[in-house]
Amino acid sequence: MKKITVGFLALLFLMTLGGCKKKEKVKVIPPAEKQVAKTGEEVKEKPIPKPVVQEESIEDMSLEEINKKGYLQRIHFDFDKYNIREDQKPILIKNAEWLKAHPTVKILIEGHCDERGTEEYNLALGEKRAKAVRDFLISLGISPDRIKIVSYGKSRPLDPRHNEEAWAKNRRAEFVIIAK
Amino acid sequence: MRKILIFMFLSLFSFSQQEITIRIKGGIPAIRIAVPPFIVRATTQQAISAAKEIEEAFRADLAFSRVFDPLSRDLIALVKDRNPEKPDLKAWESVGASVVFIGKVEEKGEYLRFVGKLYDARSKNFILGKSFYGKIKYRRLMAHRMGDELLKYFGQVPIFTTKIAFISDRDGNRELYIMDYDGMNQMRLTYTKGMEMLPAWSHNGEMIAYTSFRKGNPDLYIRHIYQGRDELVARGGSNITPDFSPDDKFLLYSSSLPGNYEIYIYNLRTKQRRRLTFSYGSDLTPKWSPDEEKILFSSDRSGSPQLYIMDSDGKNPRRITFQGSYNASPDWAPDGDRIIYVSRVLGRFNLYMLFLSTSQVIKLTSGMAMNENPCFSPDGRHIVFSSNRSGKYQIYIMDYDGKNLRQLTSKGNNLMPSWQKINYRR
Repeated sequence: MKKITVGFLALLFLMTLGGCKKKEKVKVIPPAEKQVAKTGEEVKEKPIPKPVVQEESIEDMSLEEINKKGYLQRIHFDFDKYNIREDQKPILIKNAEWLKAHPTVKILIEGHCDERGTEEYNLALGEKRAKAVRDFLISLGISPDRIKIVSYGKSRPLDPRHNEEAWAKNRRAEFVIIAK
Repeated sequence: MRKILIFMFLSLFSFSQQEITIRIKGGIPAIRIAVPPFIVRATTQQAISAAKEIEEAFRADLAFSRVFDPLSRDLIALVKDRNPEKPDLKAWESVGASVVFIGKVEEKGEYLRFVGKLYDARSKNFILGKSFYGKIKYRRLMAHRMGDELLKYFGQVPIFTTKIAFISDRDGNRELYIMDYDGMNQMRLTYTKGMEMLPAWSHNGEMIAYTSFRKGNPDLYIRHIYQGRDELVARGGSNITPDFSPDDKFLLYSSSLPGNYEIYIYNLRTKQRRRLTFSYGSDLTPKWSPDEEKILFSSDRSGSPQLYIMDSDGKNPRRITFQGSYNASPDWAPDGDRIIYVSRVLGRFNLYMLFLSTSQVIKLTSGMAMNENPCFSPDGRHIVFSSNRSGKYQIYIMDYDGKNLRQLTSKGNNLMPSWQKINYRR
């Protein structure tokens, strides 16, 4: 008999809790129209939604999520060249600023090429591109221990087509965050 | 009909003190072989179809070889008398056969026996008899073994049992595969989910050196294919483009560890390595000369990729290509005289052949597509390469003169072929 009573009380308690939770949810988003109706006051202008911006911290995200955000932008190169183009330097400067703001982050720079070269010379060219980017970031004050490089040559094109547009897209250096 | 004398195998056979000149008339080889329909002693459907496949594979080998010129079905049909024990060699001679091959396949339970007898139609002599016995699933191998015996009898390199290693992304990412020289028995060897690239066969047919990104970086491994074991050869920097020495004791490769690609030699037994080149350019794709005394490689030390030959200790490099601004991916023919390579001309990548003795250059492919990674067959009569002429990259073989082009692969992208080597000096 005693056990049943205790059980019954516990059940009642849980039900009350559940009810409370539901109520709370309703409270969170009060419909503006209803509020007006309740108080009976006249509202001439509709309220605008309050802009809410959450501060994002990369500490809360997985590496995969961080890389999806695209904090570090890729840069492009000229055909058969590995020097950093003037128009690409602002992108690297931005990338360097972000890296300075996140001093624990380590990155992998991937060098890629278009298809107009042999596998092995494209591997060499991709490596030169990755190194050129690394050296540029170092010159902007990023520590060399934070940077790894790899070349994929022409094996991972962004655009598989065989035209100038595709080739220009595929001649690039990508940034992958490997530690946060 | 224009007569073409091919002396390219002279140097190859000089070691056996037997000079062989293959006379080719307008591309038609000299040995006229008659292969009448095989005699089949089998009862089960499985054995009957296996026997048929043996005959077809054997015929395909002979037709592919450029050593034999099989008689057409029409000519064979002219010879009525087909006594398997005593062929009418006079009749065979009269239809133009130099030699006659009598094939017989017998079912023995789960096994097959493939017996071949070769007769000289002119001298009327029995000249060669061979018998192979094996499980039905090895039927194609039995056919290739028989073909190899015929090649060996005529002093040629046995290529029908050789294999081709290549890279394919048919299962999603680039992995290492092997197949028979005729494109059959395609088999995946790696399951790293990283990226594999640029394989190279050893001469004993049991090792493949290749680059793998399985740990993120392009490291160099040797796969011992019949042991299922990988041996790490080089890591740190990028390590690519391996090549086994003719005696399989050393491996050449290129490493970017010093800052740019330089050529290294690795001793497979002592595991010690030595750097051979010291240049500001990328020194890549080292290849041993067949006599093991020289190394062919590509380098952009002059500003653009060109081909060079140096001594096997890295001394006396000299440039050998002067036409075009981009010459790379070379392979050295077993005769030591011909070099096949990729040249970029007006943005197109085609295969070219350079004759060292005459400095003559011949263009072997044409068109808008990419043609890459050429590699000679062990007898130097055929070339395997990859091309995206049909859309995706596929592996093709053709003869040394660009004839008889055949596509070997079709699923996914297939590239970077390496034809198994054979060391004839053994």
